Amino acid sequence: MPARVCSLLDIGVYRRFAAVLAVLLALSACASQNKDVAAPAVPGEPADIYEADETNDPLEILNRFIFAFDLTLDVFIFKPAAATYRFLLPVEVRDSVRNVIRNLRSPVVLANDLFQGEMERAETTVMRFLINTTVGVLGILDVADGWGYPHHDEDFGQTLAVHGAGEGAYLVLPIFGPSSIRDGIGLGVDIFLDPLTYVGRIYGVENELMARTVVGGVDTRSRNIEAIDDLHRDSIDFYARIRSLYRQTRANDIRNGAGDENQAPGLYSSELDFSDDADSSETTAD
Amino acid sequence: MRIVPRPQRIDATPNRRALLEWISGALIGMLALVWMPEQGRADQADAAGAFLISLTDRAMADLVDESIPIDERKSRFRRLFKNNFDIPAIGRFVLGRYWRAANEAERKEFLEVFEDVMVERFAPQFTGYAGTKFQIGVIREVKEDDQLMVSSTVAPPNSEVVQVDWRLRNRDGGFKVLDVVAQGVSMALTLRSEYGSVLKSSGGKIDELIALLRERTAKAG
Repeated sequence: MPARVCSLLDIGVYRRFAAVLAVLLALSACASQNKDVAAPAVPGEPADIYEADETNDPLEILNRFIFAFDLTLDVFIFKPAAATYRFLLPVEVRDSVRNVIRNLRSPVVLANDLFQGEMERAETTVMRFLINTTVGVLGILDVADGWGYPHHDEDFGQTLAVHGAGEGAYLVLPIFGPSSIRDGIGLGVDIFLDPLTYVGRIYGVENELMARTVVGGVDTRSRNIEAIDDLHRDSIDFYARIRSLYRQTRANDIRNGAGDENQAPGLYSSELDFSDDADSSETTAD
Repeated sequence: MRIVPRPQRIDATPNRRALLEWISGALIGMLALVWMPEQGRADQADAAGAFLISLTDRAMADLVDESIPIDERKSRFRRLFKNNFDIPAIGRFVLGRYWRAANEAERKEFLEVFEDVMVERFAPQFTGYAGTKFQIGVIREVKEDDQLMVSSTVAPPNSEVVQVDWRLRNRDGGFKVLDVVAQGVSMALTLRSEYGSVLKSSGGKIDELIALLRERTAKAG
């Protein structure tokens, strides 16, 4: 057995992961270096706190390039595929697809629930998996949702954040899109946490697992066609808009914002300063 | 470590009664001081909730009907937006430090085109929201400046519930919206980030930003 685990670890996945990790660490090192020497955009003025905070994007030129690449793929492949998928399949089938994929992800969600010390959410994840795999027929139906166990997602990027890791720097990944150094590392660790990764290697069904990822991506994209079109239409810098949206959405996910009744509303955004003297020392016309 | 002074002993003298009276008086006074703003705050929260409910009712009544021509819906949205949102404050926040550098004319022009952008973006968005349930949640104060964060849930029919937080400010006897935060995404912060990026790459030229926004609204209209 140990030999088998060893052989699992020392080939393929591990090496690829190690390479990705090395690149990400190198990037984060150069990111933090850049931050230290960042000069204020307007000479003689302190750098805008929000801007420094929001931008944190030392790889912007590379990121914009990959973003353009991703958008091109989206126009020619992802969006048409998603639209076709939505056109061909009735909503019940599409929901089943999503349910099965979510159910298969349960072990990863559970591991991250536990890493974050979220015992109640861990219990929800276990109950969902047990109910939906049996009563829900291998996850096709989300019965658990109606029984008081609603779906939630977790990933290792969020786990790192909960334990105090900053995002490192903004990062756009090929195909996967907006991410960060922290979340990119999280993505890799989640592959390791997923038992299906090992099952796939043992039984040689890696292609099926890849298909799961692709179908999941198409399904998600098919649920956002109009929303993304709306976002794109009036934007004057789509890259910057998505960067900001990604950051804010992640911050919200990390504190499990939506759906948590104990959470104070708008915790993050309430730190924004709307007072009249926030950006102006003299009184401004109201 | 802090040195705590020893409590002074109060002697049982004829003054004791007066002292007790003074203490109880002070206590009542302090209670009143603590309690009255609490009361005021509760009223403020109720008023904020009422303001939002009437605003969303109005939006539902005016904007969801697709059979009404879009131009009419746009002008209705514009009216609602102007009357209930603090556009100058939002514009100032969105431009950030570039607002400071802008002159009066640029500021005015930006606020005008910004209003158009908001109308074009949001006026058509309400169709399909007929029968949406709106519920006010937690309300809490933000620092001073009479600002409140009001959480709410918006439940459109046949769609998932969305968590929406509103930043309101009470000024001159009325509430105005400063920001809308949907599922943790702040409208004002997102625009600030985007416009900031454009301004940064153009070297802070506000007229270029205005021209770009004009282009977008012209295309949409």
